[in-house]
Formats: sequence, structure tokens, C-alpha cells
Amino acid sequence: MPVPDIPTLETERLVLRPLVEDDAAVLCELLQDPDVVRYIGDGTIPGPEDCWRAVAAWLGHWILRGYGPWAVTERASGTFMGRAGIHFPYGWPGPELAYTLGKPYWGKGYATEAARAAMDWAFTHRDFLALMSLIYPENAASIRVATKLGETLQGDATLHGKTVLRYVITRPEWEAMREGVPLTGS
Amino acid sequence: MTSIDIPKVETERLVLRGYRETDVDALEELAADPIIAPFVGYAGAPLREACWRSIALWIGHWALRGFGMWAVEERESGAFIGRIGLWEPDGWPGTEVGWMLGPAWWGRGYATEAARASIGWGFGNLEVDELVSLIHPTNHASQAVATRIGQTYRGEVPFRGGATGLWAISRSEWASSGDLPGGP
Repeated sequence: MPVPDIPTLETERLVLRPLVEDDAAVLCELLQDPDVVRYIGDGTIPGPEDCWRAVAAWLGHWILRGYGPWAVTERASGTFMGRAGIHFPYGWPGPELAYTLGKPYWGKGYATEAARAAMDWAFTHRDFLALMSLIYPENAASIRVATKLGETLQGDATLHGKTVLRYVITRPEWEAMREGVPLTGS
Repeated sequence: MTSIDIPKVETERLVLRGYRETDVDALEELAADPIIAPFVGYAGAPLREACWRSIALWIGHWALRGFGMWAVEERESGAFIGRIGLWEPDGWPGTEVGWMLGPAWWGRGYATEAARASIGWGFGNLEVDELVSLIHPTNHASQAVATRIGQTYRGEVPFRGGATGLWAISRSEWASSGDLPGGP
């Protein structure tokens, strides 16, 4: 049963499409790498059943919230590389601009490209006042992505009992960035 | 809210329907009871978060499988009283008919009524030979429901590092169970 109304987003090198069942196994393979899961949730390596349930719950997230995560695929090959989108389950510190790619796909600017597409869609089609990325302080790669996206450090929050940094972009900041206007004081 | 086609199934006293965000409140009340709490996943998360995520998972199961657990509403009061339906996440030992009702609604035959409707819907819409139920050996209330819906005990099966009781009803058993409430 397809979930209606999840849009497909295309960028120069990527296609962000709705998650499907087959993505669960591929995602799980990517998440067997400790370097990939280190900064996700409580850092536990998931089993196949956990991944299936995660994909199911993300589709349920779309239905409950009207937004959620996409499958990030490489446009040229169709390869599933990870997920990116807006993650805001109940109890979360705020609507998160989240991105996770498998290690083979790091270092190519894919996370930035995917997250930017998700961010543009979210500010254009939903009424968010701001989006935030929640990042463990030692996750330098993710902080670089957040910075490239135009997010700035705005305090911290607690996730899974640990402190995470809040990298935030507000709607006016996003609009100014889209128009190419330099922001005063940043 | 994005929509999904969770079919509505009506019985004499119950409505089996898709979820609303307000069901999270009702589920949270039910799950405050230690008997119900284990049916809500995401152990360790605060209860309300766990309830929200469980409902997201139950909806997503429909999206991935084309069947799943319904929200069960008491027709007369409109109250959300639990979730009943079909369940087969990755790695599950069969297509399960499962029931979870708040204890305040036990003893009225509601679980039997909704489970029978789920079985009828399942055999009517899915290509399955049997519908199983996994019931803990000490859960006598659920064993009684299993018997009333026409399931028989098939033995112990390994489950999550331990063992649990497997009950099942085959398609042919269901087809010849017309004398049971909600039968074909």
C-alpha cells in the first residue's frame, strides 16, 4: 500500500523518494558500521527487525505529521544511500532536519545536497518557523554539514540522556539565504 | 495529515478504523496500566513518546504490508479502547491476529468480536493459509479468546530468545466455523 502525498525531490545528483520496504535491509547494512551509528540515537547497531520497524515508523511519521524522512538515492545509479528529511516524533526537542548516509557516500557533499532539498521543501510546503539539526558535539562532519546548510549553533538539548547541540535555521534566515542577501551579524 | 487507506470494518458493537492523533492520548491512558504497557514498544522512552511512536509504527505497518492493526472504537461511546488486527513485521513467525484492549473493556466479548472481524478481513483480503496468535503460556484470558475465535493450540515456538505459545486457525477451519460469532 503506497503512502500517498510523499513527494519526490530531485537535485543535481540525488533523488529523494518515499521509503519502501526494500530500503530497510539496505539501510540496515549501512548501519552495521559503528562509524555510521555512533552519532545516531543511543549508538546501538540495529538488527534487521529494528530497521524494518524504523522504516514503518517513518512512514507512519509522514501520515501523522504530514512530513518526514525520505530515502536518499543517487540519481545516476538509483542506489539507496541513506535517509534525510524532517524528523519530529512526539517529545523531540523540535522539528529536526536530519541526515544519515552510509559511509561509502560520505565526503561528496551528498548529505548537504539532500538536507538542503529537504529544508527547501519543508520551508516552502510546510509552515515551520525554524528547523534544527541535533548533533553530538564530537560529530564534526555533521556540524560541517549543518554550517553549510546555513544553520547556526543555538544552545543545546538533551537526547537519550546525552547533550546534543542545536544547529538552527529560522524561516527568515532561510528566505534571506535563498535571496542571496547576506545576513547582518552572521 | 497525509492519508492512507486503512479500511474501516464495522461489527455489531465496535468500529475498527485507522488512527487519529487523539488516539495517542487514549493509548497513553491505557498504557499507564502495567498489563497494557508491554504492548507499547520503545521501552525506556517516556510513555507518551512511546505511544506516539507505536501508533506511527502501526500505521507504517499498513503502509508496508497492506494490512495491520486497527484502532478499536466502542461504537456506542466512540471511545478508543485498544488495537486489534493483523501483524507481521519483519522476522515475525507468521501472520498474526493480535488483540489488546484496555482492561476496563474486558469481559464483554469485544476482543472476540474484533478478532473474528480481523480474521474474516484477513482471509477475505490476504493470501494466507492460516492466522496465528502468539500467546504467553500464562495469559489465560487471551487463550480463552483464541479458543472462542476458533484457534487451536499448536505448541511452543521460539520467540525473542525465549518461547511462547502458538495458536492458529487455518483458512479451511475458518470457512467451517460459521456457528461462531462473526463467522463466514
